[in-house]
Amino acid sequence: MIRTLHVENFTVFSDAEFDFGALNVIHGENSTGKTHVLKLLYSLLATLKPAPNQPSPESPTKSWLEPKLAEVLAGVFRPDEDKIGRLARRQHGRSTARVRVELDTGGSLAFTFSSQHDKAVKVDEVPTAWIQQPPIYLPTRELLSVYPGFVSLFETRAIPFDKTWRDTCAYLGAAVARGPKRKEIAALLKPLEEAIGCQAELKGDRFYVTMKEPKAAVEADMVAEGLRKLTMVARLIANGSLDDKGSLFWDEPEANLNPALIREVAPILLKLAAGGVQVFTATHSLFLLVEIDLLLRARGVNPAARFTGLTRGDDGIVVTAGSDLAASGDVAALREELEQSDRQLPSKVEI
Amino acid sequence: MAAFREERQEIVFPDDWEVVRYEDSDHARRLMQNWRFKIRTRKAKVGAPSEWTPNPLSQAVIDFVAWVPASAQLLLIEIRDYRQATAGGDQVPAELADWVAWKARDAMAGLAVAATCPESDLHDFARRALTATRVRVFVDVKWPPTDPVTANRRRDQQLNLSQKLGPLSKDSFIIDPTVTVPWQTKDLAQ
Repeated sequence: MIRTLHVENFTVFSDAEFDFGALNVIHGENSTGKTHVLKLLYSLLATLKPAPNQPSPESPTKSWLEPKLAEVLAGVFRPDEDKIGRLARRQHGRSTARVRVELDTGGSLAFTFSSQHDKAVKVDEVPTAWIQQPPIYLPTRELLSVYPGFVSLFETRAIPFDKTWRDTCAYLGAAVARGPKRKEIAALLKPLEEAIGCQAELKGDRFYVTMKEPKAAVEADMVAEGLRKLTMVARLIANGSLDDKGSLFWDEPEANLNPALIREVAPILLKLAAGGVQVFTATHSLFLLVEIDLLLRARGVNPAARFTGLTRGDDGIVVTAGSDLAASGDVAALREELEQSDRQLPSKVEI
Repeated sequence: MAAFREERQEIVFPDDWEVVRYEDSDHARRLMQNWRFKIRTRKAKVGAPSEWTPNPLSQAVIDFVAWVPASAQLLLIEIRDYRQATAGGDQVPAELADWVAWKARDAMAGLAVAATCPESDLHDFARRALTATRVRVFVDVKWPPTDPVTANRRRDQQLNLSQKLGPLSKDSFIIDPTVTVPWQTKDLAQ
């Protein structure tokens, strides 16, 4: 689990400190760095979990991490020509980006890179152990329908998708878990499958969504995108990719969902967090923010939640965080909602 | 100062407005009594075949029609008081916006008829009122005391009203005690 993140001169951030809980909800206007925070954290965790077929030392080392971090950051953020120096905050002259995360699995990872060095990352602090479970990143759209052939296409061709798409597609393709792990998975999976009323099945290279009522397997492409999105999460739980030692990064879960399905997302996020998955989500949806806040109030402090608001300041993005929505500063969506209410429902009528 | 009693409230309109309590006019009464205007509406009930029923408000008309010469506006004002809902009084109907929209349409049709009938008691008023450059509909609602979520209730009803009123929707509003309006309402002793 990630405890804290400190960034300096990284993309839109000049100096920002984040602390995290089990459920982390980030909100803010466009271009305030919500997705950048998610992608940065994902990149760090993805680096700290080498693929099974990847040669790696017993525990992380500087020499192993430095090229790997540069490669993963380039794959996730897709700067021109993979120059990660472009991720340093744009300003006059040279700037050095600094990133530091504290992990509860042991130690911290800290590194710097300069705007002038295209591909070099310098690691200053190395965690004591690899993480146990790879992170999962859900982009704003679902991936069941793009799954067929996507991983091999990504590996062999230059296509305009970042590494998170490739990674998540690879995890989606894993077979459904069996054995003793199945019981733990069922506890997380059952409420989600009950809520969405369907599950995903991989037949050959193509996903089908099997409805409970009427019992029928429908090609994923032919199912509503909102449903595909939630089914994708169910699949990742069912095949053990998303378990109690893992972390989930879900960017704008509300995209393409109607309010009824958005309402289903909130308890899913809470259940995953309560089940041991560290959840990070970025959202523009006031509906989702309030829904999560209401559920948390109803349940008390479990799971430990952090609401983080990002706003533009004179010198980069300002971070305001707290354990509830009210403590996380200016909610841009709320401001717009109120402004719309004022326009729709005037407080004074002039004749 | 034009003051009117509407159930348990007194409504006072500004001096420079010309206000007609529409249902008190001979013109509206005649229209209501005329069989040609007793058109029933078809109301679909959930779980039952739709049937032709007289809508509870189908024989009612808009409460007030006001002509504001200074701004050339014609106002159609409906007063609804649901504060007795918990004591067996009227409940806020789901069809409130539909009913008000029907009443507004009927009032406009009634004024158009009055403007062409010299014998109508609303003839002169209607001729002036129909020179309006803006027609606006207001529903002045007192919500039930057990339903304090007035912002959401008002928002819902506003959306419904806007959908039903079409071209009149831009300047028409659900009003409640949180809104400042040029007319005053005062509760009367029973």
